[in-house]
Amino acid sequence: MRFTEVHGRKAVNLDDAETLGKVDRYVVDPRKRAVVALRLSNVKGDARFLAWTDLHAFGTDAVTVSSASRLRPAADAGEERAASKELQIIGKLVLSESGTALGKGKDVEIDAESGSILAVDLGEAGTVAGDRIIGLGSYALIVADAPSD
Amino acid sequence: MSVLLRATDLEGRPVVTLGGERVAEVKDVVFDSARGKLIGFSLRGVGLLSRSREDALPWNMVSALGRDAVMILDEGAFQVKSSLAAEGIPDDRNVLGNLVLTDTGTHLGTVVDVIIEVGPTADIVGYEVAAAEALASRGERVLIPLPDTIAISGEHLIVPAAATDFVANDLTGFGAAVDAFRTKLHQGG
Repeated sequence: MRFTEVHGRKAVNLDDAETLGKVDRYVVDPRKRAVVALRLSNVKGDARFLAWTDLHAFGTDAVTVSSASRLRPAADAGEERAASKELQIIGKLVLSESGTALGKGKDVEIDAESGSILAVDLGEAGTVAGDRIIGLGSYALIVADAPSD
Repeated sequence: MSVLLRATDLEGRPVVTLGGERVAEVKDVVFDSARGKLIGFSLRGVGLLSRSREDALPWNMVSALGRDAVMILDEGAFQVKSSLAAEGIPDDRNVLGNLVLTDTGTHLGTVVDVIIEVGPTADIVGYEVAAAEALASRGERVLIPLPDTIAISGEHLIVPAAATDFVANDLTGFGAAVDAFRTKLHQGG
């Protein structure tokens, strides 16, 4: 599953079949190399985060949750920032740990079950395996040098 | 693997943590010119209020010097400028503009850049000079290899006369010229 495929998809509450909002931002934990939460748009109030572990399914047409109570505000300032525009991988400079720019993030392939990042797509510059991710900051996504570099 | 680069190419290069934050830019390269070593970088801030910073980045805290960024673990890599002296004697004199003289008294030109070989250490392997007539067409940019250590006064750099046999016009092949020159010096020839 890719970020661009899921962006804008509905998050639906299985309790009452109501739409809670739309998938807007991805909260990535670079240490876990995984998406750990989603931030929704078109939500009333501050409770617009969904922890990955609270998802019922990350489906092809909708994200489903078992109850509206799963929606919560940002856990802390760190999560708020992780969901901000400056920490989104798409559009971000991708820099090797040895200081070479590899390209810009065009898309991210994740495992729909675990949220693990399988690969970062750099468009014409190729792809970087998710297990090479070292850090994610406002300036760049830092990745380990490829074995062949 | 080591690469050759010009010191002026490093100015303005972003200093980036492994956490992906750009925390500074290289302001100047700090050398121990007499011993031919790069010992660190002075810094300036980034963003709208980019000012010179009081701290510096010693070479031994650099995790990688890349084409697009100087990589560090985190901001703990920065130290007060005076602690750079632990790495060598910071040369506050700007070698740019210095005259290059051979030990036999020939004026070769004026220093316009410093050539660094970057690998596990970072060493000054040569100077780029605007040539005097004794070396090449006047004003032409020529690379002169250096011995391991040199005499430097803030006015003059003294190089062995044999250096003129190993000059190059660009960085390609200059590494080999430096090696050949130093081998010749060590053989006493």
